[in-house]
Amino acid sequence: MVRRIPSQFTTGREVSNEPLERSSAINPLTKRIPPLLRSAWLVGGFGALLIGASLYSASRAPEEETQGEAARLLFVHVPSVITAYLALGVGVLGAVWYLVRRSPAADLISAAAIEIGVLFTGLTLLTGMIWGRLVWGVWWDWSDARMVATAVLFFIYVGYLALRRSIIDDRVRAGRCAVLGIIAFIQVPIVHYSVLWFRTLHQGPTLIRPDVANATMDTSFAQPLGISIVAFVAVFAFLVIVRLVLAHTEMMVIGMSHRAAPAGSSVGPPRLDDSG
Amino acid sequence: MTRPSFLRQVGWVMTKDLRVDWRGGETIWMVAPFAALALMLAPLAIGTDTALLRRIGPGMLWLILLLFGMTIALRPPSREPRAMRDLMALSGLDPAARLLGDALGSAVLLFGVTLILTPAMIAFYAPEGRPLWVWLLLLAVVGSIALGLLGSLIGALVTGLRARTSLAPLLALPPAVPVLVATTRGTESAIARRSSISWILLLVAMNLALTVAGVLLAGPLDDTTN
Repeated sequence: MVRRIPSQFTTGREVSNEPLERSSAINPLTKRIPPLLRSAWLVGGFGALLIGASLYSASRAPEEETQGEAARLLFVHVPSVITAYLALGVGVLGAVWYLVRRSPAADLISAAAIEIGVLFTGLTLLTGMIWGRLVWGVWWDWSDARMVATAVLFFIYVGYLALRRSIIDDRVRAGRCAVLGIIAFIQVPIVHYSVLWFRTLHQGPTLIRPDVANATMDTSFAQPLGISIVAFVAVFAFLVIVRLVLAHTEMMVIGMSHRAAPAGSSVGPPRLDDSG
Repeated sequence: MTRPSFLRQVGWVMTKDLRVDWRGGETIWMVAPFAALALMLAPLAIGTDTALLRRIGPGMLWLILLLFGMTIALRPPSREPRAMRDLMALSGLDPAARLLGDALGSAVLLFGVTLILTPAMIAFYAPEGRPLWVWLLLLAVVGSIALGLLGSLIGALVTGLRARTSLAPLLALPPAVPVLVATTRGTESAIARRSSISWILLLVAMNLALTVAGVLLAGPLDDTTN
């Protein structure tokens, strides 16, 4: 009788038979991912349509009397700063929600919103600098409180992202980032009201202001600006959903690597099979 | 056994930090001389234009205090050994008392460094100046407390992290900008023999806000460090 030596190698999949779909214990978003993906495409499509509409209406807006063509940059600059405020606001709400309920989903939403908020804050700075060069004649003006405060805001939240990357443990990362997310948000009203609190080069608030009833803007400018703001918010929603899906995938990969046996553990010493 | 009062706990933690620093001598023998040296080297790099030095002196003083002071303020609890952190947690001390105690300990050390550097700045940058020393003293007190509170909050955020030495300054410096502006403008006013009260009141308000934030957030932070 021929003795058979059983296969000495396994694929590694035998280590865990748990389907990935059952990993909801480690991933609070597992059940919500398919509807999230569907809504991402819907929101993304809507955002793309609105961006097209806002580009068209911004190009059709009349030339501004004092700023000339440079005024068209405001159709990107103003929506990006409003979207940044919104994103960082969602981030702080998520942080508070996490500290109250200890919900991992709140942490993920907060982190996703803040990440996108940093992107829009950077875009605000960039478009502001380009606009400053065209209208004021300088890329940067230290006497402009809004400009400097926005740069500080940007670096505070870059620090948040750096903190997030440097902590491996989920619970520790969520707790500390929630605390920093709350502290960092104090800078947002400082940025917004800096033009009222300090003597500065930047114009006062036009849209979000204490005497909102007195906010006046010509319809030919207000209309494309309104469309741009809605388009940017839609793009923000799309990016947050995409980031959440990405976070879900990251957690799945980490979960798989935790469940998998170490490399080489599936290889055992040769054994003689007596059964046959 | 009755639980000691909150202020007493704050005092214990502060005394512990000051004792640890006194035994090591890091602030007196390393940070303070290094900061004084930086204050002396700056005019050599910038140039010996007396008018320019008089203008930048206050800003240079507080920039150096901010950069070097953060190495003091970020030390506890981010650099203390794990065993000490565990002992503090097991001793039943209020997390807020621990954070405020750390902050006050750092503030005392920073105040000491400020007391050395402020006359040095006047001597090197505005030798003919006759500043109002009372305002400078009050600015040193409130400025040190602000940096101590900020450093302790950020220090608690980076406790136990491998990247803490590079991460902590990145987290601490942007929120310290209002402190830097207020202390610099206040010092400029004192050197020009004007009142610095508005800047001191602003710093007091900042300190109150930071204290409230520290007391409220010390608990959640403590959950992540033990």
